[in-house]
Amino acid sequence: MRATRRLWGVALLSTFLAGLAVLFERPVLLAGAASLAAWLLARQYRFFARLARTEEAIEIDQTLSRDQVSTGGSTAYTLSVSRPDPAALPLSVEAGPPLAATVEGDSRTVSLAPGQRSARLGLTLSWPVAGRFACEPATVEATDDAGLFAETLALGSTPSIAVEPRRPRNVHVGEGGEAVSAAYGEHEGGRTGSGFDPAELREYVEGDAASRIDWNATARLGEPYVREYESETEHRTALVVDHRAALGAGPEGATKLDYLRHVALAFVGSARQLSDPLGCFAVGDEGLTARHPPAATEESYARIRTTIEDPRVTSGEPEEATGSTGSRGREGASSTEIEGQRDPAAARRKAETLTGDDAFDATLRPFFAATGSYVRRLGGDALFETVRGEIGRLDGAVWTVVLTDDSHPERLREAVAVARRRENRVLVFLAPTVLFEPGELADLEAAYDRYLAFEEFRRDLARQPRVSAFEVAPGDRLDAVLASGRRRRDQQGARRA
Amino acid sequence: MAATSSDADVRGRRRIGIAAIALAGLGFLVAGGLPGIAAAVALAGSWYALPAPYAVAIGHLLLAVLLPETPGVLALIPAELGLLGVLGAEALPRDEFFPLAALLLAFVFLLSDAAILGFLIGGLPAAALALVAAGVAIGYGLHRYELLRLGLLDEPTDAPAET
Repeated sequence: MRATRRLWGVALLSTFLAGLAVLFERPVLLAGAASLAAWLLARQYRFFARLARTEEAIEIDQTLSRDQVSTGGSTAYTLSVSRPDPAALPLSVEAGPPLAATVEGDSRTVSLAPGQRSARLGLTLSWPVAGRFACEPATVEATDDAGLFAETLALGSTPSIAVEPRRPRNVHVGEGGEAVSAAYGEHEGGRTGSGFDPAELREYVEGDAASRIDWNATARLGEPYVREYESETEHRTALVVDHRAALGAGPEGATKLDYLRHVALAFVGSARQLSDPLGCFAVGDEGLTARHPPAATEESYARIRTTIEDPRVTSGEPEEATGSTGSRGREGASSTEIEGQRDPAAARRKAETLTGDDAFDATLRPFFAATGSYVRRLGGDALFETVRGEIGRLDGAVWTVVLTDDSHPERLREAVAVARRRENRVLVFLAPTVLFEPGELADLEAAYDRYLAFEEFRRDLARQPRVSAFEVAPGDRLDAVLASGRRRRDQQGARRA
Repeated sequence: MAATSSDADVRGRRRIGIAAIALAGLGFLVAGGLPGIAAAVALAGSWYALPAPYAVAIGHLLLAVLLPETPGVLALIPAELGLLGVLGAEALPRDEFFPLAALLLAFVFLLSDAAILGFLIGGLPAAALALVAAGVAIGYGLHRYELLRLGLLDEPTDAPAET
């Protein structure tokens, strides 16, 4: 029970009267002090009795419209207060939404005046952070009608809610609606020679080393035989991750880029597990946004993972330009260095040191002063130019993994054609635009037609030598579209019959 | 925060207040003669303009001026009852009148007993001290009981915190 200023005022007045009684030897003033003190005590007891009755009878209910939501989503919150005794204390009830929620609403407090039996408050809560959160009990502030005493109670239900991070669900990777089990794993070199896994037995021919003769087989068969072994090689893989604006289609947390990111991270994990050299080139609307030549170090895997997990859809931090003097990528080279050039921050620091008036400073200063964006402008389609410029420079055989969508089919065809030169293999992961459009798929038949067009394009890509093309999409949406197609075929079949 | 009371409560308090002021005024007249009328008017004016506790304090000051140093009990009774009535009217809604009137009188007697005990021990100063001490003790006791009854006490535990 908190004392208010008014209470202290009356208490001091009573004490003052008692003091005056002693000072002026007037017992009647002591009677006044006793009257005021008794009055305060009676009011205190009365406030406590009514507060206890209110605490027993009041019903405070906090409800949330859902018990599960994704980050960035919102829920409705309702505070309901009711009491059977309308002549009770005046109350002020403050809502107790979870601290992690962002509250939208004018006020979080609802008042019950004497004579009022119930009150209600509605708020909208949005959830920027994932986790499990519970409401705090509502804060009930009661005061007595003379403003002498106040008390705060924590009452009411405390519902909880689970806020899930937005992420792709039901990721489908497949061909024509059929899921593939694995597109990347332990790999064989396709050649035989020395190694650890026995492949075949053949007759000894002149020139074979004596150490390769399988003596057990020779003794068994009576002629010298040589055993061949499977030769395991490293895969050099280069990821080309398209994060242009078109890849942002879809609900937050489940865009085309989010689904393709899921696949790209699987490649990173697999390469790290097998210690295969892995590179990554990120393509934005304005050109190359990240460049990591293939390398098989923990540091390179971590940098590539960071690049892929960067949530920005359109062009991100610019990479400095190499222009026409671009260097050839070297395996194991630092991904932040491009030969002979420094990053923009270093350029600005250098510019600040050029304060002299001599010819040296005067000549160099204009070059460092142009500290605008260092976007690497690529003529034409950024994805095509990246494949042509970066993949083409890599020495030796490379598996190129292109993660993009079907927004620019012709340019993608050209990019794939460039990537598979020199016997290189290409994996293309495509996010079909039709399955990422906002809202529910209103016209399933039209969506199925568009999916058929996409599938035709995907198959066309896959027909190219050394090229595999896969679709990456929400499995539930794809199932709905394919079911629509089956129903149409069934109807057509029934009509013919 | 002042509450809005029902109209019936407001009218009831006003009637009781007027009756109490009238009784106190009569007591002033008995205690002080003609000057008591002026004191009664002053009391009525302070009751109208100020909250009841301040009007009661002014009433006792006026009474102390009107009365001799050792007044008789009979001279005090009407005025004191009237002034208590002013306090009682302020505190009471209609449906709680009698229980709380009894409570007010009970506290008055408790505190008076403490003052009388103090007076017997050490005169007026001890009486004042005993009165204040009794008021503080009863008030603190009610406060602790309220915390206990409403579950607002933070009880220390001997058990170690779970990690």
